[in-house]
Amino acid sequence: MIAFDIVLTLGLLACAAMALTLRDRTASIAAFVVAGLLIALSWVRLAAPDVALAEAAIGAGVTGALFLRSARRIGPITGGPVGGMSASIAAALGAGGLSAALFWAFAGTSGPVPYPPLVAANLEASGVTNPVTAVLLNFRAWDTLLEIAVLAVALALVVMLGPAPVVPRALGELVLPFARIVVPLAILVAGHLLWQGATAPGGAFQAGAVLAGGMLALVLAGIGPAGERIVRGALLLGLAGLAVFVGAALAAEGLTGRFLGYPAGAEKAWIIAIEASLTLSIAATLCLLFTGPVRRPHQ
Amino acid sequence: MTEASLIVSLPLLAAVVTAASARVARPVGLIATAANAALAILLARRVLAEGAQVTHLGGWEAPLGIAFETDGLAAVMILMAAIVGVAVAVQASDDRTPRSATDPGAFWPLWLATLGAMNALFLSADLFNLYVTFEILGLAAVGLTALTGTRRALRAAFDYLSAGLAGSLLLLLGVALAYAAAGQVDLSVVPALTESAQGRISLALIFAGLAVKAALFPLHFWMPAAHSSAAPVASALLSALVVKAAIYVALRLSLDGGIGAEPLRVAMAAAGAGAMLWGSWHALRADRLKLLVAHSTVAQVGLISLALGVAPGAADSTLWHAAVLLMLSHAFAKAAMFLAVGRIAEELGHDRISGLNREELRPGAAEFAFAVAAVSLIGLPPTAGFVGKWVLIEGLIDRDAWIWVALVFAGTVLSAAYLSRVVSRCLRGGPHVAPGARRPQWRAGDVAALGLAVSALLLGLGSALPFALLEITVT
Repeated sequence: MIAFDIVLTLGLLACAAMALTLRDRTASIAAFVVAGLLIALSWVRLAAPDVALAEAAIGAGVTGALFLRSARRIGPITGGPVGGMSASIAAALGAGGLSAALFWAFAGTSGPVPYPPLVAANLEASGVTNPVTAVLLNFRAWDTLLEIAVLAVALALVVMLGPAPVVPRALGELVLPFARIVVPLAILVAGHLLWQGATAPGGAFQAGAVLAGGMLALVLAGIGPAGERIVRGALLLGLAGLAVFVGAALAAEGLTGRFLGYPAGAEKAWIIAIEASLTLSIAATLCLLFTGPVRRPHQ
Repeated sequence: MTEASLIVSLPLLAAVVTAASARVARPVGLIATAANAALAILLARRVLAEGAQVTHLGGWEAPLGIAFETDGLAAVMILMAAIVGVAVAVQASDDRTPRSATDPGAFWPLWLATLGAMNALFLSADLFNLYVTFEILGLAAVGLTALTGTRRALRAAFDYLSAGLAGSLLLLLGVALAYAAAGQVDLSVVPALTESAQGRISLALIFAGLAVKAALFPLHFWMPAAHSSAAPVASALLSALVVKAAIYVALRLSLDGGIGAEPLRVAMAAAGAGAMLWGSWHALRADRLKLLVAHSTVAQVGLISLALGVAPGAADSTLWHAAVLLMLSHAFAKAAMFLAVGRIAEELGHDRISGLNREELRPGAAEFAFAVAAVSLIGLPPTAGFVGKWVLIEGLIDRDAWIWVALVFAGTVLSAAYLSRVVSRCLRGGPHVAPGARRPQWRAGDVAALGLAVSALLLGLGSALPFALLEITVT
C-alpha cells in the first residue's frame, strides 16, 4: 500500500499546483475537484470513511459546482498573477514554513488520546452504534446544531445579496435520460446514507449533499425549481432544519430536563428524525446556494 | 427550561422566522431582542443568587460532551450584548433608517444570528464549540457589513470575509493541535496545554486567530474599512459587540492558562500598546467621521488588550476586572457613537469632519449623544470608562509598572485629542450658526444613541454590580 500512498500524495500535490497555477478557470476548478476526490481517498486511507464521504460530496462536489457557477459569472482571468513572482515566493515560503511547523508539532504528539475510548465506553447509551454519529448527534450535538445555524446564515446571506439566478441552457438530448437515472438514484442513495448513518459511515451531511446533487441535475435539465413558489418552498425547507433542531433540543429539555438530552430508550428515533429533517434542509440549502434565490422585488 | 438554554435557542429560532418572512421580520426581531434582554437579566439574577452554574448539554459531562459555564463573567457579557442589542434594534426598527437596498428585512436574521452566536460563545466551555460560534458570528458579521449593498460596502465585506476566514483557519488549526496534544478540547485542558511545546503552539495559533477577529494591531488591517462602510446599525454591532467576542475568549484562555499563558499576555499587552498609538494617530488624521470612530475602535481594542495583557491570571482579579469594565464601557459608548454618527450623517447628508461647522443646522440630540459617549471613551468621571481606567492605573501603580501607566495616559490624551476634533466643532455657536438655523427632528436613532451614551455614564456610578458579578466564578 505504500506505493499507492506515494502516488496518492504526489497526485494530490500535482492537482493542487494545477488548481493554483492554471490560467483557465474551468481547468483550474477541474483540478480542484480532482484534488478533492484524492483528499477523500486519503481520508479512506486514514480510516476515516465518514470524513471521506463528506469531502467527496461537499468538498469536491458541491464546492466545485459553486466554483463553476461563479467562474461563469466573473469571466476569464485577465492580467498576470497577483503580486508577481516575489509575492508567490513569499507565499510559498510562508506556507512551507507553517506546514513544517505543523508537521513537527503534530508528529510530536504521541500521548494516549482519551477521547475515542470515552466515546466507546458511552456508545451504548447514545442510541446509535456508529461512533461518529454518536458524537455528532448526541455527545456533541450542540456543535452540529450550531453548524446548521452556519448553513442557515449562509442561506440568509445569499437571499440578501440576491445573485442573479441560474438560467439553465439547453444541454443536449442526453440530459433528460441522464436526469431520469441520476435523480431517483440520488434519492435512493441519500436515503440509504441517512439510515446507514446510525450504524456505519453516513449521515445527514453526506445524504444532504447527494440529494442536492440530484436536485441540481433536475435544475440543469430544466425541469427543476422554475417558479417563484418552488424557490420559496426550498428556502423555507432550507431554514426549517435549524428550527427543527432547536425545537427538538428544547422539547428534549421539556421531557428530560436536559437541553439536547434525548429521552432514554428513544435516542435512535430522535436522532434519525432530526437527521432526516436535516438531510432535506441541507439538500435544499446547498441547491439554493447554487441556483440563487429569486430576487425579492425592490421596495 | 433554564435561562441558559432559552437564551441560546430563542435568537436562533427568531433568526429562522425573520429570514423566512420579511413581512414579520421587524416585529419578531424586536420582540426577540426584548425577550433576550429579559432572559439576560433573569440569568444574571440567578448567578447573583445561586452562584455560577455548570450545565452539561444532553447530560454528557465534559470532556465527552460540551458544558455551559454560566459564571459572573458570562452573565456580564450576555447583559452587555443584550443592552447594546436593544438600542440597535430600536434604531433599526425606524423605517427611515437607511438599510439594505436589495432587501429591507435582511438586518433582522443577521442580527439575531449574531446575538444567538454571541450568547452561545459567552456560555461555552469548549474550544471547538467556541470555534463553531465564531463561524456563525463571522458569517453574520460579513452580511451586516454588506447590508447597504453599495460597491464600497461589498468590497469591505469581501476583505472582511477573507480576513475572517484566515482567522478561523488559525483558530481551527490551534484547536486541532490542542486535540492532538491533549486529546480533549474542553476549557479545563488549557492549563495542561501551557506545559508542552505542542500545547503552547496550539494556544499561540488560537490567540493569533483571535487577534485577527478582534482586529488587534497589527492584524487590524481589514477593520477600519469594514466598520466605516457598513450601515450605522451594523457598524454599531460590529464595533461594540463582534470584536468583543474574540477579546472575551482571549480573556477566558488567559485566566484558565494561569502562569503558563504569560508569554501570550506579554504579546497582547505589546500589541495593545501599538494599537493604541496606531489607531489614535489615524483617528487624528481621519477626514470622515465614521473612519475616525472606526480607527478609535482600533485604539480602544488596544487599551483593552493592554489591560488584559498586564493582568496576571485569575489569582489577582483587580486588573482583569478593570479590563472587563473597559470592555463594557467601550461597548456602550462605541455603539452610541456609531448610532449618533449615523444620525449626524443622515441630517447633514455627509460625514466629513471639516463639514461639521455648518450654518443652517443646529447640533441636535445625536451630537449630544456623541459628546457623552466621547466623555466615556476618554475616561472622564463619572463614566464606566473612568472607573475602568482608574482601577487599571491603580493596579499598575501597585505593581510599579510605570511604563504601562505612561502608555495608558498617552492613549487617554490621544483619545481626548481626536474626539475633541468632533466635539469642539459641535459646540461652536455664535457667528457659526445662523439665527434661523433649524434643529434636527427627533428620531428613534437619537433615542437609541442617547440611551446607550447615558448607560455608559450610569454604569460608572453603578459599577458595583458588574464588579459583584465578576467575583462569581466556577469553583
